[in-house]
Amino acid sequence: VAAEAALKDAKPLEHNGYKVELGKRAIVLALQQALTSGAA
Amino acid sequence: MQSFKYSSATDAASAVRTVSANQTATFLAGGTNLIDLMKEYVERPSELVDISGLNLAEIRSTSNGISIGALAKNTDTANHPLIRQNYPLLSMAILAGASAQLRNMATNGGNLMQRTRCQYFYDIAMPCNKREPGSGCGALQGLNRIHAIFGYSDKCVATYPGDMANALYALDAVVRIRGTNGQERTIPLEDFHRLPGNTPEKDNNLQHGELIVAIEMPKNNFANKSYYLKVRDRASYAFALLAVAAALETSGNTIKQARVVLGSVAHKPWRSPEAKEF
Repeated sequence: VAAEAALKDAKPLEHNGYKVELGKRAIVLALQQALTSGAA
Repeated sequence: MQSFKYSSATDAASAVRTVSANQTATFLAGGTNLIDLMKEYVERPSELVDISGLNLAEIRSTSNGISIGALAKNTDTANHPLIRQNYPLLSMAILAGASAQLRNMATNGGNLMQRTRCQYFYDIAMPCNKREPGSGCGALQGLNRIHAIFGYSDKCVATYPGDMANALYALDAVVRIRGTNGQERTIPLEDFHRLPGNTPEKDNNLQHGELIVAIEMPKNNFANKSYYLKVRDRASYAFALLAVAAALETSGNTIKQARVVLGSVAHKPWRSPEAKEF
């Protein structure tokens, strides 16, 4: 849901529409990696 | 390369005075972006004031967090024990950028000052409002695969390409600046870079002649739960198509605080208002 919210107002240009879906997936992956990183 | 006057500054005050007295003068630190741009006639300063000898490379703890000298090298910053232990997100972001050789030369202040990698900005045969205000934007109707999806204008669709600033934004950094009046001020990283609007030639909110002297970050509880994800066309030595700086503060199974900053999607590191509220 946070990833959807973060990209909600994106206005892609002719050739960079892929960044919207890529951004959503990258946010999810980055948060998953953050949660599983570190010792605490 | 266009001819230019060169001088080596012996102190910050004289460096600021010299640059502020000449509208086409600029500071030279690591030079890893500026010199390339000068070779391509994209940047044509009449005068370079070399600040690389100034005493602005210290990385030290402060009562509230950490201060990182503007002239500390990217490599030394990323590998500093205080950064690795307390701000690993910053270390990851820096090490995701450029190459080892470039990081050995590049400074933290220069990293913030690096210019867009828009192909139309680099190609002086093409129109570019950032390089030549009023000439038009080649990318708006051209090849814009690497360009912005947030905050652009009809004058410029370029992105800020750096990695370090995305992490700094997530970590509430401020940029300490020496002004032309000799006084220092700070700008939150969030407000350091700017959207293009009608003046895309201005990448950030520095006034001409102002000098970055340090970057400061408060203490945080993100060290154990943070990650920098960079998506690019090849595994190393490439600018991001998109990047995410993610930092979490957790307590048991509860997320107390979350930061998500997107890189290479706008003219500045981007944190959407909706995601801030989420």
